Amino acid sequence: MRRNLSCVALLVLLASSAAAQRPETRAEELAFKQKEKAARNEGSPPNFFEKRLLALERAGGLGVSSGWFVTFGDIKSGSGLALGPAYGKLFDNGALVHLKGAYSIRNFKMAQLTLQAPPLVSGRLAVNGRVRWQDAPTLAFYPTGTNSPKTRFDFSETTSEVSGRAIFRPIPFARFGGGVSYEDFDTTHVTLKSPPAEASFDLVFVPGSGADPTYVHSHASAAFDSRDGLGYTRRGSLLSATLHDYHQRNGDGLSFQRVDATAEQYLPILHGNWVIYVGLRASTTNTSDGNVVPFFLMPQLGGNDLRGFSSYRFRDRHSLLFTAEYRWYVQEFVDMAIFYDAGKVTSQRSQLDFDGLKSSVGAGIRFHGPETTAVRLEVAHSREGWRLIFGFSPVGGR
Amino acid sequence: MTRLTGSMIVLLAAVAAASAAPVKTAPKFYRDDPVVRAIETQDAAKAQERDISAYYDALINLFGRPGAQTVDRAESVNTIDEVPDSSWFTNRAGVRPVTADEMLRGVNDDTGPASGKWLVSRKAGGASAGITIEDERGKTYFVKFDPPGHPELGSASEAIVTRLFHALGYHVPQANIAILRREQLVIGPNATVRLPSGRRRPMRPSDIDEVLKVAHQDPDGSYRAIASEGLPGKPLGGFKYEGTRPDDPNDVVSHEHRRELRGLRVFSAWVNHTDAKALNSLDTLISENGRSLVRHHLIDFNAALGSAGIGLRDRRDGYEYLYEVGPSMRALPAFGFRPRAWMTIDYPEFRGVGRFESTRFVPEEWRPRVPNPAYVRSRPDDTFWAARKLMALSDDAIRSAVKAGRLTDTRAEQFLAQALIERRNKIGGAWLTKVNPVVDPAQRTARSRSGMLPCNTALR
Repeated sequence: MRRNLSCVALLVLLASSAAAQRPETRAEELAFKQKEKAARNEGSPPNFFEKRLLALERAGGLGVSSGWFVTFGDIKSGSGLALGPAYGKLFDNGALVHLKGAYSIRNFKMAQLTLQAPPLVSGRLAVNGRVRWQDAPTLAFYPTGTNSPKTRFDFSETTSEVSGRAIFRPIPFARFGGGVSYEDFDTTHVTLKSPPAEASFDLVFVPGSGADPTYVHSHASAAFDSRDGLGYTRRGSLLSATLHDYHQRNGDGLSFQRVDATAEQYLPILHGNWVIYVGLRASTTNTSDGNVVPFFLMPQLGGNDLRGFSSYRFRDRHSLLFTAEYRWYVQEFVDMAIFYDAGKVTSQRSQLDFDGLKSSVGAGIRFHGPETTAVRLEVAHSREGWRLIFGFSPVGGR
Repeated sequence: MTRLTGSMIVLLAAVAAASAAPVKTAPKFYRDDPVVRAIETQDAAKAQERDISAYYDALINLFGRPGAQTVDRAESVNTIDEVPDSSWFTNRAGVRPVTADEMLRGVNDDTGPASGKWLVSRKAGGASAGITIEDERGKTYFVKFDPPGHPELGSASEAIVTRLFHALGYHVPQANIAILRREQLVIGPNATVRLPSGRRRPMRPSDIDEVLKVAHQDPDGSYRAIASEGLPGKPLGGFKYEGTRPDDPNDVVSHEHRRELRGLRVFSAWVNHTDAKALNSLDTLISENGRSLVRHHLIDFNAALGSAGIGLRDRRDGYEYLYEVGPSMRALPAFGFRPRAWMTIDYPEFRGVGRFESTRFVPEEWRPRVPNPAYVRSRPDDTFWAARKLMALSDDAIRSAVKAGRLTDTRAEQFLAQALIERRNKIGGAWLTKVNPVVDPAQRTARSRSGMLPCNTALR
């Protein structure tokens, strides 16, 4: 009993002593907290995500393709969703090396090495070269012409390419470009995928079917471009023309020239929160005697342009496409859009007019940055049904 | 007396001693209340420079809610609900009149770099074109240029807002307008440029030209810039608006609970400073009374008053966060035919003035670009405190701050001052009326009548 009482007494005395050390002023109270924190000597290193993001910022941010990252798309229309690894290295002089590979859900494959020279002529001249290999095991071919039956044939195409090109911007709105590439095509004959009863297409007349041409492809372009961003545009105009010359190196009969012309206008309304876009694109080809344009290099519509129709649905020697779009601001970096596409392909240049256009309508949502379109998710409808489009580039010209 | 009785006496004595000691719960008032200065008692010499990820800071604040989940009364206040002076804040406006001269002067008597050659030591990071220079007196300045096509925009904003925030009590660098020509800029002896690989190489004249290429040049060939005086002490990086700095023992109040940071919402709304984030702050390690202390500064005000530093501010800034579900959901199906209010504002166009106006300004609805942990926890007593400070700035003082922006168009100067005065008045109307406006209690002396002598802020 006595021992118990002594212990209790000791505890009470200790407690009273501790109470006596309690701060008597506000300053002491604050000093006590500060002393306590100093004694804890706590550290709080950045967490995993913050560390990774910090490393990304130190490497130059999202706009610089440095180090390892994931690349989406960029194989060929009709590949379906594709992704793969990529590696970029930005050199101290501003040169960039970019290596990437991609694989799609439809077994398309691609590998590419790009070398970009340091900015030249005070940044006005950009020069780059690339080596690219691409394998598309199943591509669609529909009979040529706008009124062709929806009879799908398949073929495969493997392409190897070594190319170089330069773009010169002498003044802000003017752009001139040129380049040359060595392109090797390896294609299979078109074969009927699922023969419907009415199919009566004669495969003998498919120009270039099963051909494996090798080209020296040279091109030159000129453009007036006042758009406020190439990857995401709210205002400005684009007028451009590109002349291609495909000179066959491994035989005769498949050399041709092609001209692509584009006119686009972006009209901002309500300070750019609404944007009306109208675009007109025409492509035409020319051959000398004894040559034809291989079907896989003909102007084509469908997929990402005439969006209510399948990829490669229409192809022929010449094409015309009109697009109108109304886009509205939903949220920073998110837009909604409704659109109308109309186009045709013809075998004669004189038939390139606005009669008999195939049309489609649709709506979609776009996720974008200040100057890039990251993802387009669209639903389009035409006489041939509904389509879901998943894109990684803007609708207009690049 | 038995042994038992002896123990009983010891116990009673102990109980008596304990009862004489202070009560166990902390007292509501101490004898030094209300404190006017929060003293930093510990040495912070171990504080290290740290980088804060801008991406992480934006993402965590846009899509998360960092900091304490509860919103209680601010913790950095004294017993009369005022913010004591500290390494964060120094009471100026509201405790004494801020004169027009004092406002024009700014933080100190420095008037910017001396004329003559400026030695360039490095290129600045960040969105705006900038360099670090040393003038002929050996003083260091951070020089930021106006963006091309927008003369006077960023520099005026920084010169004006720096002065206003200093008057309101924050630690800021002295910032003055400077006019310079290319010939003045000379590469310093140890000047280097950071390369993409992380290595550094000696600076070349073309590096300076590259900076000036994205700066506005006046027809006479000169460049106008804001020159911010180097802050004293060792830079330690920015502070976050939540939690405390782990390596600063004196930083014991979570930042989201600091009255001066919660109240910053009001001041930021006033000047439309939508970018008050960790990266626009700077802690420095200074020496005071033989101890190392961390001082917390707000920096980079060239993106206020309708400027974005690199051009005009987005129209959305000040009205919606970068990511906000409600307005987006309403806009999705409306085909854009229900424009948000901020889309329809027409801003007056004056040289040096950004997208800034007062008629459509609604203080309570103002938003920074990214939610700020301290702002989202601000309570009526926090905004009331800030509104009182703001209302203490006179029209003359505000006009004087605007004068420091050295706008060449007098109409621009008048417009900006008037807009600031009107926005201040709107803030007073919005936030002074949210709580009991009785402040500054003072006890009458024995010779006067007995009782308290409070002051009604709302009537002032």
